[in-house]
Amino acid sequence: MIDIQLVGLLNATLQAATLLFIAALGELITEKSGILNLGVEGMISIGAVTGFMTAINTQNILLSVLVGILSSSVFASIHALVTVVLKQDQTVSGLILTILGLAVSALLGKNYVGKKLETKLENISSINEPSNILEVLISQNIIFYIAVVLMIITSYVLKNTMFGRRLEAVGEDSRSSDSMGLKIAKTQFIATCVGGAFAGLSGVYLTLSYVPYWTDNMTSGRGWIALALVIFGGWKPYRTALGALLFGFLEALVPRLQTYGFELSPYIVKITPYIITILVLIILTVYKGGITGAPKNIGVPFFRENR
Amino acid sequence: MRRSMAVGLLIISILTMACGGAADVDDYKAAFVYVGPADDGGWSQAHDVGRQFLVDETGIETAYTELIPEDATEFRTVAEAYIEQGYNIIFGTTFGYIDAMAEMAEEYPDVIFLHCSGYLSNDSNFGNYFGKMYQPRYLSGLAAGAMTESNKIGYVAAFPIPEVIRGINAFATGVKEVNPDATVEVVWTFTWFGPEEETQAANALIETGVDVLAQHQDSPSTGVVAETNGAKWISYNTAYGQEAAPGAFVTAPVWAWGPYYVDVVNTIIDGEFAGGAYWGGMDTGLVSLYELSSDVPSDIADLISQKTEQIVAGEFDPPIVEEEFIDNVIGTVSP
Repeated sequence: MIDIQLVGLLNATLQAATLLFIAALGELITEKSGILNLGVEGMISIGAVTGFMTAINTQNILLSVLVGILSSSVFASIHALVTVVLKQDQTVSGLILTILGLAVSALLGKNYVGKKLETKLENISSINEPSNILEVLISQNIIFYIAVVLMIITSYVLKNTMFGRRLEAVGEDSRSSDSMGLKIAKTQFIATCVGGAFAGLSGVYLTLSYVPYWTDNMTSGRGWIALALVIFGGWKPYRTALGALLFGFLEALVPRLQTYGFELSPYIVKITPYIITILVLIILTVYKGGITGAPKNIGVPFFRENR
Repeated sequence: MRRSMAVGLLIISILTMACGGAADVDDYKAAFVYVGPADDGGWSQAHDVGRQFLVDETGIETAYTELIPEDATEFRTVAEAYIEQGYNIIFGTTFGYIDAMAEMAEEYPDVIFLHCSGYLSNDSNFGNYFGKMYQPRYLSGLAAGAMTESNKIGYVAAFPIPEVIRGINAFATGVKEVNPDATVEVVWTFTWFGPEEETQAANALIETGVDVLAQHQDSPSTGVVAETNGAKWISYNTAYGQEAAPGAFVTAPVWAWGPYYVDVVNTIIDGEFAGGAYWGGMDTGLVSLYELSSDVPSDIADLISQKTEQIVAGEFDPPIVEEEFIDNVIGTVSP
């Protein structure tokens, strides 16, 4: 038997972490192929609004999730088109994707602001008031378990499959990969769209479960934290998950510290994720000679003709 | 008879024109600058509803620009474009425009600047305006105190600044009056608008056992949490969120800028505007308590309407405490 507030803290940690982790995992896959996509915030937003609109109109939760994933993926293909096919600057294109995504989702969602969602993503088991850690773990939302499965699959695919090897090769050294006959553009295009799909899933989790309604600017910066998470996690799925738990824990802690009666300033808790990320980068630079885990070709467009 | 009246009117109007004194509404054009979307369902929408009321009542020509960040340059660009087009009354409806408005009031002495929620003004063409929101907050506290069964009420609050603190204290004063055993627990989110932060804060309060939630925030997240957990909810700004959380919604302290906008524009037309600060209470209609939901006990509803009358008549005013929390509030004003 543990304290109800402790259960609440754990629950809230897992909720906040799930949102951050899925988006970060998608970005990790994209970045592994050498494409930096700063449009995470916009992609989450697109998935969130399209999923919510579908849920309001059809009451079909599975369809809503699929629509959210697909529309974010299609939206991410804009970035793929600009950076992979047209070989334009990835930073600029990604930033535009964020601004565009927020604006388009605000426009799409105009008539859905403040509407009540009748069908939510339900929790998987029916334990209403979990009283121990095990019960909390088995009574999470279905997306939480999907996130865990995605983490295991992604890690396996990256390490042990041909596709994962190719992805890494393209991101590390596109010139050699090209000489070896790998299809650079195709790999990067797929990786970018997969990243978008993950961000979309994160978005539908936001509006169909975590904060179940729609209003402009729903994401309020979570996409940027997801980007920081990829760096924190050193482009490794398990370490990214650990980071998501830590960041989620801190987010859940801010209001709860106050109800526990601690006098610690919430401002300090709020800036901690960013300080930790910077510290991790510094420590890796000092002790590992700058090996942060970043793919070497990240952000560099591949021109076959350039020698 | 009728003809003589018409002749009389004609003479009067010729006389006034000859004197060149009183202006009329066609001499003025009013522009509004909003920080959020005009249909955000909260703060900016409340101002836009006020603008439409102004148009309906006075027939003045108005225009608005939405989504202008709290940034001096951004505000100046918009306001100067309006002044070039002949707009001579500029309303800035968020705190962050304060410096730009103060500077521009000096540069453009013929244009009247009105700033919402600020503290700067002069005695000619620059005024500020705000409302005594603590009055309806006190009334909503009466409802909250009566409706809690666990005697624990949660309050999701934005920033520890005087405006928010006096709102919490007024609310808690109302709670205490009907239910001396109940406490009001405060959690700061450090954001005016943050759906995730507000959700986390509301959940944290639910975990401490609260069964009524109030808020000083601009999103309805707290209401959605209340709805999910079978708790009750006092909204804010407008009746926003009533649709998103119909079961939880009890009432809301709300803004109605329309009557003030009509008054101030009439004062300007009459040539009597002299800058200064305006702080309107419930007697002006600027702030009020939204219609109570049907599950508020009838004796409390009667008490609320009785207190409303007293406040409107100026016989009673909830105490203003902004330095610290009163004794039934749990939390700290300087976290």
